Amino acid sequence: MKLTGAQILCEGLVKEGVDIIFGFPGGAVIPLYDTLPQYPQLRHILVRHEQGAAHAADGYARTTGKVGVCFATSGPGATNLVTGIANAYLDSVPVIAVTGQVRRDFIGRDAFQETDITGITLPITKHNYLVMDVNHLPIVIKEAFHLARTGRPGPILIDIPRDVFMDQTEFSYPEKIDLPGYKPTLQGHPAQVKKAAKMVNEAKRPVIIAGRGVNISRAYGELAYLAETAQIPVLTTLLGVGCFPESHALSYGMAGMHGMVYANFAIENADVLIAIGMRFDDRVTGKISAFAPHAHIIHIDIDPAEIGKNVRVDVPIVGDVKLVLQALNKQVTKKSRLDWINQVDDWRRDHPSIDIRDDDGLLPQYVVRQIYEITRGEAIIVTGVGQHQMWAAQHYWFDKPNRLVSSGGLGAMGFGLPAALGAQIGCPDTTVWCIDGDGSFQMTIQELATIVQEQVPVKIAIINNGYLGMVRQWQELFYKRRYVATPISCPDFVKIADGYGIPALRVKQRQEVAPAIKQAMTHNGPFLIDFMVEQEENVYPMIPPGATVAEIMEEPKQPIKAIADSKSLKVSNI
Amino acid sequence: MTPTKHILLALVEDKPGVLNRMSNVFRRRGFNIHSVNVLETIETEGSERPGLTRVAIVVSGSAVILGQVRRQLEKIVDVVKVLDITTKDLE
Repeated sequence: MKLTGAQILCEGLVKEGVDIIFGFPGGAVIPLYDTLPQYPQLRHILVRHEQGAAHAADGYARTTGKVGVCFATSGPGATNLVTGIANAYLDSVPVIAVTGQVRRDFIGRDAFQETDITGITLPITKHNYLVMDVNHLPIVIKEAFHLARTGRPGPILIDIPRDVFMDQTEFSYPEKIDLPGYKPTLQGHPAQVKKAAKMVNEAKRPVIIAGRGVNISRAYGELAYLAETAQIPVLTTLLGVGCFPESHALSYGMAGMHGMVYANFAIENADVLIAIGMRFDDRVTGKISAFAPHAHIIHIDIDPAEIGKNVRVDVPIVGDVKLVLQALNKQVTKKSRLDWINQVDDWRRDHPSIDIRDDDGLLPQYVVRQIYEITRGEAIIVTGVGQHQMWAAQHYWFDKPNRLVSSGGLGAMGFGLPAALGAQIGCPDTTVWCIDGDGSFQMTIQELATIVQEQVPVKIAIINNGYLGMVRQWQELFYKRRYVATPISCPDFVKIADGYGIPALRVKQRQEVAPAIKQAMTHNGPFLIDFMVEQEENVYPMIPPGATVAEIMEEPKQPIKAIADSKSLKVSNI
Repeated sequence: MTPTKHILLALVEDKPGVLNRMSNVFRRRGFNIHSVNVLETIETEGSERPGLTRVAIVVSGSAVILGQVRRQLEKIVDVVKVLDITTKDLE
């Protein structure tokens, strides 16, 4: 039987197990949307801006482990996806973006709503396709899903001209694919694994840094086995949070710029660093030349191009984290390493890093901690980008993986609300809290309408400090408090929520926090709380950008202003 | 380490835009191309897969940079293999 290109796409999506699509229609994709009613198993979520579709697909993919799918039309529809695609690329999230394109005979003529979206997204996709023949569509869909979810996952864009959606051909979905240039290495090289095992066994002060690769590979058991058998402190990157239970005695929290002091001290003093499924982002390493100065580095990653990209590595192992750790664990000997563990515990005792000070004001950290308490640490937390993101990572403790959903590599403000929408649709039985900043929230506030239309019960906590807080913090610390373009006004979020039909509360006092969160939790549907927090609160600990662990800043005993004036902090690589 | 010239031979699938994908890696990562030659595919018996095109690129850089260039190029789905075919004659 002959099918149209649009039908073939839908058939392919169904065959690949897709049941949710986030999208926004337009001229070039009308034939596709016209076909959707024939496929009731594909639920389409109408977002209010294509950026929301890409972020929602991303949040859906991170929390479910499935491929997220988004649709957009040609031209502006496609370009609006770009931030979301870049976000998925930097955080290795499997997303398929399908864009409409102008008719084939219009391509290259600057037609209405024509953009070269494959050209634009070339550096921010794992791969992309412009499908010029309906007969190519089945294999392209098959390849796209394979590429998105295997190896190092990432976004794939499929650009389909309007007339290709309407062309017809005999449909058969391919069983196999043939990509001679794409053969991810899964098993670690035995000689490298052996070298790594020897290094681990001989280490006096080993440290593990676990990243999102552990989540992608679902190597939780293997990581725990390695840590427990060899008694190795485990730190995570922002995207690795939760891949090792944060309540575990060997968990020493997040490392890096806003990581725990003791976590960064552990890296500073380690003799062997086992980096697992992470890529040495500058937010983790600080000044590269001073990173882990005493350590031999073992780097396990599925992407060969990550090896040696940012730091010099002594034992690289290219492979799937789970399989490599299984091989490594067989050769790792049981050790107690009491002295080293005690040392890191001492640092933790002396530099608690995330104690919340006694303060009559409404502290943002306190808000996050209350959400943690009331949700018993069981919620999925989705954040925007900025101070609130760091407080969420620091003060909500995650014992399960994929529960902190955050824009790590790209640092895309506006990620929170649409990603929370995607997470909640993917995980309908889990409480989803969107912890957002007043700045981030205003970037994608339009998705409130989507949440209402689709009846998605996301709980929203706005950490409202009236500033673009993270930039303000840098201005305070490194630019002599010149607050240029960071004071930000916002609408009355409670009224806004009311306008969308979402119940909301404003919280100004500490004692109102818990009752408000409880009210949100008992409400059957979306709920918004506008927390009017201390305006000039800073995120600590902090290693200034481009600085070393020695320059770590803890929450000061004296007012910050004095410190900023007395020290001329050097800032490089901002 | 002093930068030396290397000749890389990439075996790539004959797909639209593959040269663009490759040159993009150089632009994006700040590597320098001295010259690039695209060679028409010659079907040799048995050994080579049909449809593979050869792209010869002369680049300079340390061993670390060269390693990065090769791995970043090989990351492109349409690039099958990248060989370092530098010979002493070319110095």
